[in-house]
Amino acid sequence: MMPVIKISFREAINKKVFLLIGIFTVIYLAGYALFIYFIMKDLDGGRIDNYSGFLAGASFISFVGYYFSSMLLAFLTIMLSAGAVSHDMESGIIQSTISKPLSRRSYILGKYLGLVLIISAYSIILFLSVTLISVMFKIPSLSGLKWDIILKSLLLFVLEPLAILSLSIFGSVFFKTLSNGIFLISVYITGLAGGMIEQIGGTIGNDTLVLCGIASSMISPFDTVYRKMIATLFSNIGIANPMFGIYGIQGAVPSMWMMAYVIFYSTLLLYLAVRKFRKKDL
Amino acid sequence: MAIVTNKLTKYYNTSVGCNDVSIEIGRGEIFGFLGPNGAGKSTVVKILNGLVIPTSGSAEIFGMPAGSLEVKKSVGYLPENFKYYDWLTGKQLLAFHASLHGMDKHLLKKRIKQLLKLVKLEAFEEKKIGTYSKGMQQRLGIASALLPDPDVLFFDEPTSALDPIGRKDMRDIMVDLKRQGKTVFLNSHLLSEMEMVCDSVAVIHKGSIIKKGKMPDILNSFITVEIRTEFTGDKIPHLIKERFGEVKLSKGKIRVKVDCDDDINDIARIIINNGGKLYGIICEKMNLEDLFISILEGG
Repeated sequence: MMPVIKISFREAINKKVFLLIGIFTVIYLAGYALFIYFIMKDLDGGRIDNYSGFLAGASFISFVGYYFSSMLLAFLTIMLSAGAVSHDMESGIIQSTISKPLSRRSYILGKYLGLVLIISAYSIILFLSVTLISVMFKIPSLSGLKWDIILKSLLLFVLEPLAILSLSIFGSVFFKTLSNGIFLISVYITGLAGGMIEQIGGTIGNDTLVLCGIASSMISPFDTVYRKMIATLFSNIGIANPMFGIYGIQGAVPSMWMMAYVIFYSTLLLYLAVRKFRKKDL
Repeated sequence: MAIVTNKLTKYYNTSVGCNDVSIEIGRGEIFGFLGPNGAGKSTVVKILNGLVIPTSGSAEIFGMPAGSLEVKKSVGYLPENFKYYDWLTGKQLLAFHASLHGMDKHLLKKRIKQLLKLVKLEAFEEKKIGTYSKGMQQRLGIASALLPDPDVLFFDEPTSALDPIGRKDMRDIMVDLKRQGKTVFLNSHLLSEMEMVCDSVAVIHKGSIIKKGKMPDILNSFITVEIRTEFTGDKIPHLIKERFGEVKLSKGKIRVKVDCDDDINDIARIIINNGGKLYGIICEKMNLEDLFISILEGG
């Protein structure tokens, strides 16, 4: 399996989209740092006199930083993995690989693990960069963060793209690359919409909306992981927690059971991908 | 036996990939698999390499199920649609394929060098595959198939992208493999080349084997005989037609297709025993191409 892990990792690095997203990430982080710099300057200059308002605003800014980072990560994951298996099948590359002494299960898991490495590395760098920028500019909502909170949040931040990756590998066995890309984006958007519906339902006390949101989260649980990550990261700041306010109420914070479901969901998708691929004519 | 298939059948939804294909290929043989486009040749090769799952029937290589990991260790395969990661160099691709075979690192370097020399890609080993011509990629595929020094090799249209010199090199490689006692399964449309190197052949049409056997037997099995003769009445042509099927008559000549040399003796006997005079016999043996066309046209 190790040769496939290595080739999958190298293949991802060699893709132009990886380089493009790398450049975009640097620009994005620089922009984010500048944005925070100017906000903090306003505070130091006394132009913001309502401290509690500032606290809520500043935590919202860092929340936005993680939100766009999470979207960037989802985008990168989809772009790198939509054709992980299907491209090899469409091009015929797979014939010279699978005809070697390599089991079909090892091929799928090798492809998956190679992408896990690259996506995890990128996720960790992105998360730590956003956190470091926020801490560097003394965003109050993130001051005094404990290592265990950072670690828990980081694990959740990495879990989201890995769950998307499992869905992508599953789709890549069943669909052609383009169809899989469309499928993944559709499922991802379903999750985002479902998350919002659940939040709105919670805010206005409409159980039907909450149920619809939960149902969509079962199909697309990626936004749920993101919300859990944000709730964990901002768990020590009370009312300034962005999980309140625009995102509604305390009850909207996903439970640990939901995280267990996400791990089960990812494992099941991988299992189904392997199962389907074992019987596939190449 | 090196390769044995028993009633191998594959259906793709409603179409037939191959149907009841039973072949036996001995160790050290070069076996030619002939058939028009879409006849089912590649389906059979893919089943033998574990790429396609058969609907029914069985396929074995050295007594073990074809496509199993154990068998794949001793099999080399050049696919018809040879395509590789174009961002790798030729050397890197071979190193990747060698690692899939679990080859030792020291052995691997030596073997890659040796094979790149054999397929005349030494000068391009550090160039990316994306810059290779189709012929160079096919040469690389041949090197990849030979990497583990396999006992059985499957070449699916191995010369489709090669120039005449490349084809001759490929022929030499196959002859050399046979000399080493390797078994070669060859799918090709280049029948003259097959005729030169193959020990046995099978013809597949619409998914089914319609002719198989040793090359000399197959070639001798389609002989057209022209007999200069003189006879009265229609008894002699009638008897020959009854025995051999279609008979063409022209002034003092009978043309008839026979299956083997013994049939010529039988024709002579029919003529002489029935009062005819025999003045001469000319045998026209078919080459593989004529034979192939004749079989497909139902001759």
